[in-house]
Amino acid sequence: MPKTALKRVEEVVVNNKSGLHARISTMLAKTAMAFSSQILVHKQRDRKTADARSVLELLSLGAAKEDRIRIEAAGEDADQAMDAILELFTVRFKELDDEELD
Amino acid sequence: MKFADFILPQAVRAEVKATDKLDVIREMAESLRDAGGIKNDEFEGIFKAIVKREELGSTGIGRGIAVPHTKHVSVEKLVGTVAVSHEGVDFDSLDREKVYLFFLIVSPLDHPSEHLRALEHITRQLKDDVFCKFLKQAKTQDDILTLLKEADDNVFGR
Repeated sequence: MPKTALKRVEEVVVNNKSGLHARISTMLAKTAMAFSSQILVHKQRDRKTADARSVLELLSLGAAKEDRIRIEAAGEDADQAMDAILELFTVRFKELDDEELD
Repeated sequence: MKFADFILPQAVRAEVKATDKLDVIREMAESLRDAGGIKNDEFEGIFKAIVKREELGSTGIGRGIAVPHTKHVSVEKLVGTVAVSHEGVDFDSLDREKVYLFFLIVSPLDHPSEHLRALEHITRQLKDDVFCKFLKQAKTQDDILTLLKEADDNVFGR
C-alpha cells in the first residue's frame, strides 16, 4: 500500500510565563526529532520561522507568553507529530515552567 | 536587545583554559565575577545554580554552541560573557558534538522576557555561519568584542 504524505496546520498561543526558553525549546526539538515529518514553527507577530528540530532556530524566535504560533507538520506521521507537539504547548510547557527552575 | 546591553567586555575570553564542562562554567563565572558582573560572595551559589540547571538538560544546543545560564536573586540586571575554546569541550550537547562557543548569562528573578530576548539575540546572530566561523577563529578578547559590535550593528544575522 502506498504511504500517504499528510500535512496538518494548527495554531496555538504560548501559555507558559517564560516563553520558549532553552529547556522548553530543547524539549520541543527532541519531540520533533522523534518523528520523520518536517515540522515548522512560525511566530505570527514578526513572521519568523524555525525548524522545530533546531534549538538554535527555536530560541531565535524569541517567542514569549501570549505569542501566537502556527505549527506546520508535513510527512507520513504528521498527525502523530502534531498531537505530540500540541500536548507540549497546551500542557507540558506550563508544567515545566511552574517548576521555576529555568 | 544587543550584546552591548549585557555582555561585560572585560569578562570575555578568547581562549578558555578549561577542557571539561564544569571547569568551563567555573572559568566563565570567575571572569564574570572578576569583571564585577556578579558579587564575590555570591559566586559559589551562582556557579552551583548554573551546574544544577545543566543537570536538568544540557544547554549545549548543537552546532558547537552552549548557553549555560541561571536566574539569581543577587543580580539586578542581566549580565553575560562569551568564551571561545579552540579545542572544543564535551558539553553533553544535543547533537553530541563538542562546543566551541559559550555564552553564559545570569539574569535577575522575575524578568523572563529579558532572559528570552538575550537568548533570542545570541541565537539570531549565531544562525549566521560567517559570524559563527569568525567567532570560533577569534584569538583575542578584542577580536571577539569587534565581532559582537559588528553583530550589534547588523553586519550579520537576518
